[in-house]
Amino acid sequence: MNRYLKLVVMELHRFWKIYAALMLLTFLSQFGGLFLTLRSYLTEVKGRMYAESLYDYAAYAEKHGPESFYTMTSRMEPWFTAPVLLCIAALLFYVFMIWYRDWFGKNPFVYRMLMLPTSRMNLYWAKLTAIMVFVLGLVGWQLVLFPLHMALYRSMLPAELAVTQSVESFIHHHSVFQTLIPQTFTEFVLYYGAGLMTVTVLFTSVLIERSYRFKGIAGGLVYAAASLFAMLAPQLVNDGIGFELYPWETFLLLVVIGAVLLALSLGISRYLLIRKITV
Amino acid sequence: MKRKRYWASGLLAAFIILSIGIYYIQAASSHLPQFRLAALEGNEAEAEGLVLSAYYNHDALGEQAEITASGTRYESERPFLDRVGDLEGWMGSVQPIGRLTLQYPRFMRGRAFAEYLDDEAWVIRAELEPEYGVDLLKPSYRFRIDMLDKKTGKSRSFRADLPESKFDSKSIIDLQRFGTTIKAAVQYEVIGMDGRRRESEIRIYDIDLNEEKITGSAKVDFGTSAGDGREIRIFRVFEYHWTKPSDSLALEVSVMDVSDLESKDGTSGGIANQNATAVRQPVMAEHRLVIYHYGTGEVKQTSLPLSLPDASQNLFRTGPVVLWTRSDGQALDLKGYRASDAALAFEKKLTARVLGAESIGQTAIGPDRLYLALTASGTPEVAAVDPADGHLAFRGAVTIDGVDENEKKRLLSSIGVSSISVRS
Repeated sequence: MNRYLKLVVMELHRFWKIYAALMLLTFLSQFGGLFLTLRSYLTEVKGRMYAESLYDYAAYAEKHGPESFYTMTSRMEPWFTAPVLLCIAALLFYVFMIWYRDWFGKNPFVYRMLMLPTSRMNLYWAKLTAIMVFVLGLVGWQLVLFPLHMALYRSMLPAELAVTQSVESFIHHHSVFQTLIPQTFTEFVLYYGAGLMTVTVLFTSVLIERSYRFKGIAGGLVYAAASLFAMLAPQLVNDGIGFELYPWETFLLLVVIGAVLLALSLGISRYLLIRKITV
Repeated sequence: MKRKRYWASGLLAAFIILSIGIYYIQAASSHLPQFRLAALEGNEAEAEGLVLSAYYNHDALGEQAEITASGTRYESERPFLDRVGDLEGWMGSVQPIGRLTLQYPRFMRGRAFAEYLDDEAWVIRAELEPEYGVDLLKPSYRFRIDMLDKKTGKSRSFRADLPESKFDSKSIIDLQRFGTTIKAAVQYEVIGMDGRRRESEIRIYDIDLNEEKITGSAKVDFGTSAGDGREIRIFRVFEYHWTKPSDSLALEVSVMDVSDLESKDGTSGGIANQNATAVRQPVMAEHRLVIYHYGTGEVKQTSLPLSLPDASQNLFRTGPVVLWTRSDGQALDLKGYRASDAALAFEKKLTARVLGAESIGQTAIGPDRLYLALTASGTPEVAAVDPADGHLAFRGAVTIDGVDENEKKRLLSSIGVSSISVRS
């Protein structure tokens, strides 16, 4: 346990600069984008008030209606969602790099890691934990940013033009965030459980490649493709052969297939790490 | 240095647990207002099964909701497993199919879009299956009949060839059982490239359950047919319990004058005439209610009022009565016809003013009531009409408990009802 924790801390530390940069970028892009959008909206409002001889914000709101936080973010959609998508892409890339940097770094670090007087699976668990911590950390960060964005919205807009909106209802209606932060905790566990399973599949593909080199590239790709096919199987059964599954059957089947893939990926990874990867 | 790293990692873990945990605890503890449908006049039990599909507008966003006599169910507040396991809601748009799916999931699997009969002994399903021969564009068709014995839970299936015909569109619109004979009503149409119905007819087939083949057929003769400048449109009158046994079939037959849509050289429609047909609409020349009696083969019919451009009209059947409604938002014209002989039993006019409402919205049919959605003083209301005589049997309104009058008014004005329906 102690070894495992040490390895987790080490993995977190190795990525912290990039991770902090991603968090900062998300904050700056969303906060800055919102600030500029609100400023341009207020300029627009003042221009229209002058053109339409409206003397106060209440009269403007009466005629044109207030603009909600949701509408504001729709006006600046790329500023809001692009950093989130960039974070997702960066973490997806790091799922591979977390292994390859051990082999291809300045000093092949992997030799030292594999020689540690502890189970090699601790290395695997540490990397898996680090990836999940990075993902959930960014989700948490976004949840902290929303109230800050809303505070900025309320402070910049006159009360007549602002609409009170809860973070939950904003997330539920946003096309990207409703997927990243699902409606219920059950869905959150299921979505991120599926994410964990996906990471183990990708880790297995990397380890297959590291174990068998050129042949392993094909092997890794086949394993990832087969896993994807397995996850799509219930849908293929529905559409392809016309055996219609009821929604709860599809759901149960997906949970079972996901659990089997998770167990299989862990088993194969364990075998490869202990038996096939040599220093 | 190392100690600092441990602290930072611990803080990150605590940050994750707190931020995500607080968000979900807060989301779970905040609830949207619970509206309910309360009786204003009549028996409260009348509101049972009635569902108002509504939008609750708050925070400048709309929440999809279902308001019933017992409360409000918001789509955004439904537990995930409840949504996944809701078979009836999954097939909600086809009411009896949802119920049959719940009762007989194995028999119903993958076959929701077929014609069903649900009588005291059997659930019978009929579909028309194409069989492709040499000419792939002209398949032959056969009935596929699946029967579930409700007592034993055993099912049987058989196929019976459908005679060749000139019609390119065929569909089963009703299914009944009389002893060991199934009567299947098949709607035939020849549809042109321009979407116009060149020919339309209804044919009743007798399928013997012992011999497993067609033993007879009869065309439903309603005394008119498509021809030059005329198009016949036939629809089965919508029935709440459309899978339940009935001794007759109610049809809405419209004769449309399409002569204006035809080009001068005698050809009609097609791509060349597309722009013209897009502007001009067919004009209803005749409108009839046709009742076909399965037992005797008799056809009874009566004329229905023609449709008006600014009014929506509907035909519903509920047991022995066929109801015709026409609403322009301010008044509802209602006529009740006997399903036995298509004779007019009563007619009535319900105006928004008489009902004390600002407007009359959608109508919906239930097992034994016609429901009207109303808006009165900005609040969604519902009225239930007795189909036997057109009298008002129930009046209900959406309300909310436990808030002061001003807040109640504000909350009620935030609801918009998009449709009403009745759950069995």
